[in-house]
Amino acid sequence: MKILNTLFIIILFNIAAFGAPALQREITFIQPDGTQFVGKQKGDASFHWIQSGSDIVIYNPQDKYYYKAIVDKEKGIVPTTQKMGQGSKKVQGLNAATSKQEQPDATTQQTLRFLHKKAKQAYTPR
Amino acid sequence: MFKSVSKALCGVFLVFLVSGCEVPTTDPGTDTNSTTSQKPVLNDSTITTDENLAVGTIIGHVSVAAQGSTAITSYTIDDVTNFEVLDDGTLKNRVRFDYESKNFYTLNVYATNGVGESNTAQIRVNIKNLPEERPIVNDMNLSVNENIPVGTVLGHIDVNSSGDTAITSYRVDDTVNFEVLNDGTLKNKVSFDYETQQDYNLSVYATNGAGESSAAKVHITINDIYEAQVRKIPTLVVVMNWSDYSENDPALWHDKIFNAAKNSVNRWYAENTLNQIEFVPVHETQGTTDDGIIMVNMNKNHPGGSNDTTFRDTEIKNAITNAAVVDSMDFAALDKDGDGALSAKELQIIFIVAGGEESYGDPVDHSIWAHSWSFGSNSTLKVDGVYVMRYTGDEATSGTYARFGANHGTHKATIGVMCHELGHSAFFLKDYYDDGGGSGLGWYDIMSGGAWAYKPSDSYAGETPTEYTAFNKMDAALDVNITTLSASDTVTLSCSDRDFIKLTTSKSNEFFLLECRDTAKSNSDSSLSTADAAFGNDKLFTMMYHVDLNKSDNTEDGRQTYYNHYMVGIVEKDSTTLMTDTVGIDADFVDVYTQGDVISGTNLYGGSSTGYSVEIVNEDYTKREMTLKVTKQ
Repeated sequence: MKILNTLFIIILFNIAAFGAPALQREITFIQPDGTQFVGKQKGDASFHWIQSGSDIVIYNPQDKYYYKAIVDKEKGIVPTTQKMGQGSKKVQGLNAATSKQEQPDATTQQTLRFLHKKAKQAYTPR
Repeated sequence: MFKSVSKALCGVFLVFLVSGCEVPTTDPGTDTNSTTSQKPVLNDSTITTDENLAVGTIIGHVSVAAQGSTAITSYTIDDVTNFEVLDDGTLKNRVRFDYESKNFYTLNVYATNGVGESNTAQIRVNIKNLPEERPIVNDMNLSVNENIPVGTVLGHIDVNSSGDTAITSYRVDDTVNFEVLNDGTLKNKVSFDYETQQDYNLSVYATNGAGESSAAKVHITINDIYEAQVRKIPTLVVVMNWSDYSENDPALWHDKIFNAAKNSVNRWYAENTLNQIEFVPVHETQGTTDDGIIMVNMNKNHPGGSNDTTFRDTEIKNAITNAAVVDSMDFAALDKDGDGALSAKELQIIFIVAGGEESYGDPVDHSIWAHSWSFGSNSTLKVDGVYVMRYTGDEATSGTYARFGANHGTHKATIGVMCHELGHSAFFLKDYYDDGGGSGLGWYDIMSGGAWAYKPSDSYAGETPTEYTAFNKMDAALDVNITTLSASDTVTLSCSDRDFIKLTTSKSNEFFLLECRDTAKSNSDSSLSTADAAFGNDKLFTMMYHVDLNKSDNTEDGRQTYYNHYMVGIVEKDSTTLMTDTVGIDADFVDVYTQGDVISGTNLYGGSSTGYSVEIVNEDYTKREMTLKVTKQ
C-alpha cells in the first residue's frame, strides 16, 4: 500500500499596522512634581521618543517621570538618571525661536534613524 | 383776446334788467360797493393740475368773490388756445399739458352779469410733473448649478434705466420656481435638477411711478453638476472604558464620527471625497438605538500601549466579544456577500480607547498610539458566527479595525487622526509621512502630517486636517477625472475637486500627478495657512507629485535619490525645504506653483529626462480653476 504523504503549506497573511503620524508640534510635558518642559513627539507607533531641544527624552511608566536619555545602537534609547525640568518650575526645552537651531547631534540622529528602521521592520510580520 | 359772446348776452339782459348791465370800461372791481347794480367780482387764483390730462378735462373753476346783483351769465378768458371756460366758470384744457415743455400758464378772466363785466382776475395754472418714463429692463442670460439650495441668489435684474422715478417693485412671471425681491434680487424657489430640466425662460418686469416696464427675457441655463454615488460604510464605534480612565458621553463620540453638521469624520469625508464616502452607524440597541456607539466596560485598569500586539490580541478581542457588543447587534446580518467574514466594506470597527493618545505625546501607561490593523489570516475570532477584523491577503475581503486614544492631553481627541486611520482601515491607503528624517508629504496630505493640521482659528492640532492628495483620491478608488497625457496638451483643472493630470513616462511604475488646490473652496486646505500665512484663505495653487509604485512608502529620511526616494513625493518649486527637512516644516508656499510658474523637475529618479515641462498659464479665481500647459519635448 502506497502511502501518499502530502505536504501542506499554510500561508499566513498579516498586514502591517498603520500608525498615526506623531504630532510635529511642541507640547508641554508636566512631570509629577509639577516641573515642565517643552518637546516634540518623534517617530511613529513602532519607535518613538521625545525631542526637547538637543535632548532625547523618554518616559518611565514606573515613576511617571520623563528622563533624559542616551541613544545606543545596540541598547536603543536608554534613560539616564536626569529628570527633565528638574529643579525648575519654568518651561525648559524648545521654543519657537530655538526649535530649528537645537537638534540632537548628527550621530544621535543617525542612530535614531537606524533604530527606527529596525523597529519598523520588526513591528509587524508581513 | 376776450370772448365776444358775453357781450351779446349782456345785451339780452339789458332789455329785461334796465339797470346794472354795464359793459365795464374801467376796473369793474371798483363797483363792488354798489348795492343796486353790482358787477361780478373775481379773485385771482391758482390752479394746480397734472400734466398729460386728456383735452377737455375740468381743471378747476374761476374763483368768484361776488357774482354781483345779477347772475353771472358768462366768463371770458384771454387764452382760448390752451383753455376753455364754460358759462358756469368751469375751466377746461384745450391742449395736453406737458410739464417738460411748459410748467405753468397765466390767463386773465372776467365774468359778465346783467350789470356788466367784472374785474379782470388772473389765474395761474401750475402744471404738475408726473412720472412718465417706465423702467427699461435688459434681457439676461444666467448660468446656475443644479442642486443649489432653495433661496440662493441667482442674480440681479439688469436694469437699463429706472425711468424718471425710482423702481418700487419687480415681478417675475414664473412664481412657482422663482421669486424676485423688491431690490431686483432673483432667487430660486425650487432646487434645480439638470436631469429634469436643463433651462428656464422667464419674463421679468420692473415698476416705477410711471408703471411697469416691458417684459425682459431671462434665460437660465442649469449646469450639470457631478452627483456622487455615495458609498455608505456600516460603522461600529466601541468605546473601551477602563476602571481608571473612562468616557461617559456616547453622544460626543457619535457627533465626532457621524454628525456631518459638526466638525466630524463624516464632514471631512464629505468634503474631501466630494460626498462619495459616508460612515453610517450600524443598527445596535445599546443606549440610544442606532447611534452606532457601544460603551464597553473592560473591568480593568488601562493596560498602557507599550505592546500593540498584546493589546490587539487581548483588549481588542475582549472588547468586540464583550456582551455589551454581542448582545446589542447582529454581526451576521452585516455579511452581505455571505462569505462568513466581514470585510472592511461590510463593517468598519472603530475602538475609542479611554485614556490618552501616544502620537500626541500622552504617556504610554494610560495611552495607545492610534493605528489601523487587522488580525492575521489565521485568526479564529468570530462574532455571531462570522469572522471579524481578519486580514485575508486580499483587500476586497479583509476586515480591519481602527483605534484611537480618546483624549489628546487635556482635551478630547480631534478628528485628524481618526480620518487618517480610517483612510487605512476603509481604503487601505498607506502612510506618506517620513518619520525618520524628512517631511514626506508634510501638511499637504492627511495621510502624512496633515492629520494634525489646524486652522488659525482652531484650538487644537488635528481639528481641521488637510485634504487627500490626488494620489490618495485615486488610491481610495474615488470617482475622479484623470487626464492621462503622454504628449503636449493644455488642460484646465477644477481645483480641490476631481480633476487631475497624469503624465506617463517610459517607466510604467513611475509617473507624475498634477492637481490644483483651493484654500477658499476647501475648508480642509484652509489649514495650510497655519503653516505658512502665504496660503491665506483664497489661494489657488498647483502641486505636482512624483510617484513610483515600486516603492512601498515614504520612509526615506527625506532622500530622493535613485535608490532612496519616496513612493509619492512632492516636486517642489523650492526643493530646499519640505521633503528633506528634519525639523518638520509642515507646508510652505514656496513649494507650490502659481500662474506663470514652469515646472521642470520632471526627470525620472534614474536621472533620465522625461521631456515634460508644465507651465501654469492661467488662474481663474471666478471659476476656481487653473489651466496648465504641458509640453513634451
